[in-house]
Amino acid sequence: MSDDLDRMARAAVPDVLAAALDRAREQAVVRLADLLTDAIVEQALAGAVPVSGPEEPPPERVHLVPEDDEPPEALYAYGITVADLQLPDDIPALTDGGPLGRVVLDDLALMVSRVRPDELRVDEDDLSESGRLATLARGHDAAVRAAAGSGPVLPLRFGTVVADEAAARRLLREHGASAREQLRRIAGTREWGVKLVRRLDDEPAQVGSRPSERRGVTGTEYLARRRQALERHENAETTAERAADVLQETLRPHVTECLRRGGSPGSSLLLDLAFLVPLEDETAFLAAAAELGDGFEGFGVEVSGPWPPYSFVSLGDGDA
Amino acid sequence: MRERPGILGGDARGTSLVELLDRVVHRGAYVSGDVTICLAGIDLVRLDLRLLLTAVADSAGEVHR
Repeated sequence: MSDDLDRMARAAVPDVLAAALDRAREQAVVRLADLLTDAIVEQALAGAVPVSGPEEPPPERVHLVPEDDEPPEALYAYGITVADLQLPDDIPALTDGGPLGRVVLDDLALMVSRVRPDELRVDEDDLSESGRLATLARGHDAAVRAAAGSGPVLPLRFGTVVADEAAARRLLREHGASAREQLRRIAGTREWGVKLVRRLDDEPAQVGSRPSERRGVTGTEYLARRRQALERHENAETTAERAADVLQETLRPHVTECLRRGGSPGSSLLLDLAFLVPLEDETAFLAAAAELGDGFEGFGVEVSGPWPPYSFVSLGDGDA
Repeated sequence: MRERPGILGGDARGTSLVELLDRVVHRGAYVSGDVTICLAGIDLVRLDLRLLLTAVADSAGEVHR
């Protein structure tokens, strides 16, 4: 008899616990609601009830730091050059147009300008040409380009900031070997971008799979059109692969390095390539690229540049 | 050709902002965090999303032109 009771009790435990949990949740909600109600009422009363008697003076504001103190400054880093590179005097800094400086360690120099970290805060949603991000990114790019007119510059990623000159020297010391090797590699070259894009007006009109897009099309006709669309797609992929091969084979003689930045056969950007081109080969490179321009049916070739060798530099294994 | 090559003097005025950001924000030598104090206040995920939307809007504009 007592064994049966025990057994029944044990069997009931999960249900009871589940029910208790439900009840506890309900009560917690109710209690939280009460607390919130109190808080809201308190706020409402505080705002609604007029203050009687003489107004209390506002509490004095306590400043840990005097207000006129400048926030701590740091150094924005643009790129690495050899120490004896003669920079133009008039390269403007990206934040305030002030002068660009250098921190030198042995045979290398880091191009820097003073910056307050809050000056680098940007709104990623504002991609207009007059936006903060555009101004800063153009400033970074302009400084690297201006210096590159005098000799090789290893561009750092936009937004690189070090605390002070000691940190700048530490950067040069830690990455010196890699920087020297890359400065030799990129000397006398510039980066050019070449994209293979699908021409939008050549996109064939397709019958979609949604019923609204199939009005007036018989089942057989629909299937036939779908099959054609699939075939066209497969052809396009083959064409894209062939175009990519032709593109690289044609341009390779004029470049020292080539890498694929992106693109995929299924998208409108089929191929996004970057080339490192020696200055003396630029004319031939551009002529070859222009000649390719209209050679692919359904595809266009877009050239951009010249760029500092952004896509061809990296420091250490932390590189993305 | 949408992207005119810049003049050979190396001016960036002819380049689109999207292409510029694609290079300066995503490329360029990255220096690991123990030397740098910050990498600007950029939310890369947010920026990528915005760049994507801009690209989509651009190609939609081309279709309707």
